[in-house]
Amino acid sequence: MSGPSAPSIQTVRRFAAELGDLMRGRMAWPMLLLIGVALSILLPPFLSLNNLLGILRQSSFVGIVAVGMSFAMIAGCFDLSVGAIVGVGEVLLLTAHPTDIGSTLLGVCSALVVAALVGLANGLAVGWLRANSVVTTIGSAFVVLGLTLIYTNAQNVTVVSIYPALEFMSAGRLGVLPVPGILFLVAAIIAQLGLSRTRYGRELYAAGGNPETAELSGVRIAKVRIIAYLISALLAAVSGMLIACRVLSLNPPYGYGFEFDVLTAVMLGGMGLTGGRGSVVGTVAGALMLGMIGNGMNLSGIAYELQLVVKGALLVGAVALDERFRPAWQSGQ
Amino acid sequence: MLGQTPAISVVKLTKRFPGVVALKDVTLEFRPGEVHALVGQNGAGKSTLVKILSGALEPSEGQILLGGKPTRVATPVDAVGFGIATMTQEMNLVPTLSVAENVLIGHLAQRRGRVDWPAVRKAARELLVELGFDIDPDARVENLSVAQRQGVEIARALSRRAKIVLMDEPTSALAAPEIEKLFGTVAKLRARDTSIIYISHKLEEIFRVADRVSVFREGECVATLETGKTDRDAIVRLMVGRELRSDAERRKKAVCERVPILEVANLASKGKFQDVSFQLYPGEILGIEGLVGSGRTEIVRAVFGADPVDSGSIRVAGKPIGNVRPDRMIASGVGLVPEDRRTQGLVLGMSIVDNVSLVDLARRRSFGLREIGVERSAAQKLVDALSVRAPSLATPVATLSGGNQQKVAIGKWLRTSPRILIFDEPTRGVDIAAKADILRIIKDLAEQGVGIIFISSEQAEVLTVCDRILVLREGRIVAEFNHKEANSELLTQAAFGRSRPRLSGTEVGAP
Repeated sequence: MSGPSAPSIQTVRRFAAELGDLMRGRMAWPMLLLIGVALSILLPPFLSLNNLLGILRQSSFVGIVAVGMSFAMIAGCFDLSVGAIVGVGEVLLLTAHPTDIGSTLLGVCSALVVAALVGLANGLAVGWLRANSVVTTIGSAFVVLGLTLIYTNAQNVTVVSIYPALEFMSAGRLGVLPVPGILFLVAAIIAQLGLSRTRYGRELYAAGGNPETAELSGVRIAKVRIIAYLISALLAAVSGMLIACRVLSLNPPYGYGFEFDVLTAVMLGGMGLTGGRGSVVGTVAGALMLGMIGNGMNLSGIAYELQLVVKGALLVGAVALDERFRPAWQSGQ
Repeated sequence: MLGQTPAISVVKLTKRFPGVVALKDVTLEFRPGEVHALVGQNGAGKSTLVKILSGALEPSEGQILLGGKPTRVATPVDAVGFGIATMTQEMNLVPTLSVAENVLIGHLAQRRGRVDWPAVRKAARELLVELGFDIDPDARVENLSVAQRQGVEIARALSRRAKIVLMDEPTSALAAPEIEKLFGTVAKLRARDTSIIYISHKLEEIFRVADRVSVFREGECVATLETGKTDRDAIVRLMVGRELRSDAERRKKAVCERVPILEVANLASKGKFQDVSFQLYPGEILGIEGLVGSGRTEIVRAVFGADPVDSGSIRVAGKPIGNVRPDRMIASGVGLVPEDRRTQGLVLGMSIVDNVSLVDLARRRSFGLREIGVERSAAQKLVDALSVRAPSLATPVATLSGGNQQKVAIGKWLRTSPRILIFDEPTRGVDIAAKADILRIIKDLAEQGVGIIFISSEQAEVLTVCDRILVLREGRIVAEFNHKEANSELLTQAAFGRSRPRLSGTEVGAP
């Protein structure tokens, strides 16, 4: 009775289900490898130690922010304010003219304090008032961007020299490894350990997986979300400062728009849009993947405008794949 | 009825999933004007059969005969086209549309290319009235009660002239009077020669509504019996394939110190409940009984701090709890097994260990670090003690059966050694074997001195399990019975508003 097409439909379904299993956070590293191999074959200059280390350095700026955003995403919340926080971090460090230890500390501390305040505000709105996280963080992004522009009179911010330690952090090497790359990987390892080995990590997954259950199990959703937004904001400020020390010259609107690179990296890393899933291990692969793709496009001389198109398509593709292969029990109730 | 062409029948139906045979060689006939019940433990194959009949799954082998003709029901849309309507636990209504639109969705009456609203409303109202439902066709479905939504679903089936209606656990979310109404509707459908396929875990119901009952075990249909010629015990034996220990009710009468472990005073929440006061003693199982919507769930959630209250006070072991919040209640030894395990009791994507460990997280130790070894061994102990059937501790709870999920949802509280545990519908939608396990766990806890609050829509369960029963009506406690004096009639009368006042020692006169 079941026509000849029935078994083949089932085969396709089973295949799709298996692919889905692989997609659940385990696909990022194999995909990274695949892209790496493909680029090495297509573009000979790609596979040199210098180029690969350059990719690590380049990816680390997005990557550090992505590690922080992972916390918010696992809690089931978006953080689209990270671009603006990167911007305010950049600006506050450079406007402190960090040429000696005192001004450096002032710049770093003011950037971290401001970032913490933004993270706290996001966390209070989303965690305590239960405001929608997308709208809240877009709103806070504009508030932060606006205030930053007021602070700088919307002017270019440039310094000629910075404190050597800062220069080392952003441009230095330890052996062959670029220091920002090391910072990125260290941040990722600490974050991953935090997620899998601390009670807070479990609470974060529970709050994202099912806030109602988590709350009825004694998890304080507001607290969990506030901490997630604080981590996200602080890492964004750290990345902003590293970027500032690298470029030494900032143009308005500063980091605004950076959040989409970060979101793309996080989504490529297999993070779910609905929370309760994903890992920093995946996010690291996502950030490196994005860096590789950008590097490949640069090497092949693809124009910036077209690169934007590709990145946008990557984000949509990653979200669509997540939607398609999300486990059934997380399709939202 | 014998000798009639069956409305629908299945011949040698088999369904294989990778690694499991969900349905084995099942041959069954469903006659017009017959209520045919399917019973069996979870995973016995009834739901698979229903899914095949409703077009959600295709069989691996075998045939479906509709009115005697082999038919392929490949999709749910096909099923609707063949006059097969399905009422599942998850409703298939559009919550934001009106009742009339939902009833007639897909074939709204039109005039000159536009929807003829007066005609639609009239048609919907007629169908609803015929079924005995007093529902405004203009009401939005999201504002209806579960029972009313079912009415809308049945009316929709009728509007499509369904010849076969599949009902999967239709009473699981209904209170006693609503169940009566549903049975009335079933009788009306039967009188119209509709063939009704009725799945339920509640055997009492099956003996009330069904003409015949087919018993499933491990994918096979082991027997089809006429309900008039069999009894409950025979069916249970067929379902489990062995004799059950007869439930000789051992009611422990431990003389406990009469110091309440929980005192609730004048609790009120506007629009939900008012003036709720009661005490719970250690080792006591206190039932809270009432119709759906009488405030049972609302009260226990408020006591646990899950929802805010307008006034009232709560003491645990004599200590007042200010600003009641779940984490504070947990810290003072209170647990809640909520009504809906999937959306409130468990994080479905997380493993058994993680779910079981979640509650304990509220108790800070070891500098915020997890003790993974301790978590695993504690989870293993619980899985063994509660006989949870799962491939491993790392299995996501989403993949477990309902009964095993519920055991995990209960198990997570046992780790915390609670002093008070609140069970809201702990046996809803679980199979008979798991139900018995869960009730045993509850009794064991009470024997160990835990104070238990127990809510169930199955009155028989409340009557057998509880030491004391509070009856709610419209958010107020209207009666209280101890185990000896309580019976079904008294509870129902109290729930409907004909009863003696609370805490009297005398019997009510005959109504």
